[in-house]
Amino acid sequence: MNNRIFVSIILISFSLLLTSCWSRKELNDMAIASAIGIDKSGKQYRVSVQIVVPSEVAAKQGGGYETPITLYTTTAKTIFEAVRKMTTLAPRKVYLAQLRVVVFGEAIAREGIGPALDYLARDHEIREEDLYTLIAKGNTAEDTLKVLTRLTKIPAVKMFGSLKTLNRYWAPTSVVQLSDVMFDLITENKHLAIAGIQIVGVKEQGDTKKNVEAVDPATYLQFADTAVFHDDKLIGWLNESESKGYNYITDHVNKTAGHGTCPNGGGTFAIDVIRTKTKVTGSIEDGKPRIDVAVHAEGNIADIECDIDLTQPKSIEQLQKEAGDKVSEVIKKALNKIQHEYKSDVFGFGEVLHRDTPRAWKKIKKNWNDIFPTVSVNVNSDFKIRNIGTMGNSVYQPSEE
Amino acid sequence: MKSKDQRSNKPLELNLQTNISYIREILGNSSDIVIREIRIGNNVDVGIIFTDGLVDSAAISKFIMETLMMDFPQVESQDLDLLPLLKNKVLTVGGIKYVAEFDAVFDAILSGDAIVLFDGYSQGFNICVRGWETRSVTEATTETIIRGPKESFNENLRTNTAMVRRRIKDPRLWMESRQIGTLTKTNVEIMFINGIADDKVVDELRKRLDRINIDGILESGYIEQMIQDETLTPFPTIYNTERPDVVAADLMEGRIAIFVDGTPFVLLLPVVFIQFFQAAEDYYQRSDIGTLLRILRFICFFIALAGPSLYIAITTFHQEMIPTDMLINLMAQREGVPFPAFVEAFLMEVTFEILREAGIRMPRAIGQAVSIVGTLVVGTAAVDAGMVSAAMVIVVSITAISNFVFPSTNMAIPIRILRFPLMALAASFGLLGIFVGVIALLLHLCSLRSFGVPYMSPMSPLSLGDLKDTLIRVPTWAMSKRPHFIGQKNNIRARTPKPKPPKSRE
Repeated sequence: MNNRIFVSIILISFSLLLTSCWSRKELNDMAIASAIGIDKSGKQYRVSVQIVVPSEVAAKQGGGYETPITLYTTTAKTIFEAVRKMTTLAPRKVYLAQLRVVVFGEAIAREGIGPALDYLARDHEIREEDLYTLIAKGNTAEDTLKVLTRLTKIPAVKMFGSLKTLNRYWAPTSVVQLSDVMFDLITENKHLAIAGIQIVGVKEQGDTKKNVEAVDPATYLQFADTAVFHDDKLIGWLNESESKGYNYITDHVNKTAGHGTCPNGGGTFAIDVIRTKTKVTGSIEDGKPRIDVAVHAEGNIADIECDIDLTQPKSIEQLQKEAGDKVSEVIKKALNKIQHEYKSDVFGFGEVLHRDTPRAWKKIKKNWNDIFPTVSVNVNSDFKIRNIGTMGNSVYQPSEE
Repeated sequence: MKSKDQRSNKPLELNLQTNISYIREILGNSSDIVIREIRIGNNVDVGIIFTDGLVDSAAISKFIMETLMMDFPQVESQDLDLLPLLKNKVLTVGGIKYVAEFDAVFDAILSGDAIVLFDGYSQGFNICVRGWETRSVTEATTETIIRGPKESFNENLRTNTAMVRRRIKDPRLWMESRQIGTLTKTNVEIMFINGIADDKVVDELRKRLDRINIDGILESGYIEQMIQDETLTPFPTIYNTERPDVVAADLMEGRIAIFVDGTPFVLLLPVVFIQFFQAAEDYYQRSDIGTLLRILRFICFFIALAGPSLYIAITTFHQEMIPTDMLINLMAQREGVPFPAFVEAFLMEVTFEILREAGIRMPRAIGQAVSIVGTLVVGTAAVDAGMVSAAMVIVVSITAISNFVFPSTNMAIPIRILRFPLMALAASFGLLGIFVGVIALLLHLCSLRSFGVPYMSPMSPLSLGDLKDTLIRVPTWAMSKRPHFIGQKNNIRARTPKPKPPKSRE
């Protein structure tokens, strides 16, 4: 009996040792990738990985080289090989689980990003749910990832942080996670729209430390416009106002800022939009598909630069109407551009029709790409002003002449 | 326990000198045995024998010598036998009884009683004049509290039982005494409340105590190790305390206390796991803070048990679980640390254990030096030297401090031991290893028994009514029943209704 216990203890302790701690990775044997950029170089992928230099980023510790990130770029037939090839450049194994951003160059986006997505989805280290996707407008992903940023040392974390704030306070950017991209690609009747990022300033200077030493850096990154896709190919860009319209339709607006013209001519007012809800419904009218977009928005008055008596309920009503019209206008602009210029159903109207009128959908499904530009869309927005701020009438009253 | 030695089990002789020389011979003429020979009344030779240091010298000279030598001659003594006369009319002492055998004589002398022998009589007196130096009743050192009684037991058995008796003034508080240890003949008393304590458990305890055959009992730990249910476990299945209020409370819950002469630590049984998380103060403070402290202790239990192993598992296997910024910071700290996280943690833990052990054993005078050096070793110096990362120092420190949260050091010990195997599991298998380890631990805990009571009661087997005093501590008026799992006799503890203000008359 004692013998048996003794033998089993020996065996258990051996088995502990024999595992040799498989799949163990010490922290200082890893290179954390914060962003991955994908470009094409001929028929091969050119993959850039932004690696964090921990000793530079961590508080109170300074190394000697003084850039918080380093960029490894390799070229190979597949992305996987390219990532593995980085061992020829990096002293440590590249660790992808903490990726924040994936950036596609505009060139590869125009060719199609579909094939590149498979590796990102299949690799067990990469978490699609927490990985924002961006398109480098007019640039390669490699150059975009090189730009150093102020305030947040790691550019990828900067992008991630900005996107989160943008998503909450500024509607014109479409924040899309990698999992959403994949979902939209799989969804038959919806096309992609992804936020764009661009380098402002002198591209060549962005990767030096000098860039971030200035109060007003010569080169910086800015989110701009939204890339419109047809299937997995980039076909064009929406500008700021159109992006906002797009986001209203897809119900991606949380909070935003807007302005309108005061009812009695002259002067503007600004609205702090605090809550919006969009309902898109589809129906068949005279054998033709019809889409209704109903936006319910709430906001506070943020700024009054005209002569209006806010103490009168009537003026509030006027402002509400004006704000609602403004929202409709923004939406219509976006609709116009997408329906008639890009002809790509990024709103998922096809999906709406599929859901609301399944029988009719079967008939129009095949020709949907041709029908989409002709679909009549009825926009209806309803705006409610909840609060007028910490003041009644404006201190500034234009003198009456 | 009777000594089986035939040597002293013989009756007293008539001749005083024979008796005295026999006593001298058996006790090896020990220098602390005082033999005083006097002559009283009608020229009867008397020998007073006692152990110096164990008796109250004032009592001997005042109540024995003075009465015998000065008061006795005035008593008319012809009509009575000498001994009953002395016992009934002369000696002004409380505890007095006859002795007729050497066995009893030696027991009495060595326990601090005085023996009075008379020439021409084969009987003598055993007079209780015990009185030796004891530590006074002081504040509890191991279980300190803010609100509540401060006194603690000392090394004197009678003082200790009296402290409990003072708290429970009920005729049902019973005590049973026995002597254990062939050499030490240590007085051991079991105390329980008849009618509340489970008779079966009391019987079982008697049996287990009678089974003990050992030369000496110097501390209640000896008894604990010889009567516990399961020996192959790091967990204590018998509670010990030096607080009389804790003993009183546990007696009222149906537990049994074992007092051992010579130690302030009293054993309590049967115990359950949860009891080691219950501090006396939980009941003295109001229930809300009592509950919060309970929860805090459970959190500390897990930190103390699995703190370093979680750190090892997450930083070497599951880096994706760490927020990016923190991961970068951790990496920056580990930059240049030559050891794997497990070795790093092990180094720090061992260092801490060394410091702790040294802190307890070293002479008080050099305590200052050790704590200064210790702070440097565990603190910044180790980090600056690049031996360990700063985060590891935090983990080890919080683990160490969590380990001190338990009201009973008994529970701190198994956690301290089990931390190391868990660290090895974490280093080999990551979180999976930790969970397997914790599950194994849980199974082990569920298999334990303390005098027949499942160790994990009232959680497993579940007893809903008794959960009132586990993770939460309900108000005192709501704890109306005694714990069911200890004994089913006389279960009602209180019938106080919930306090509320009188209804307004207006």
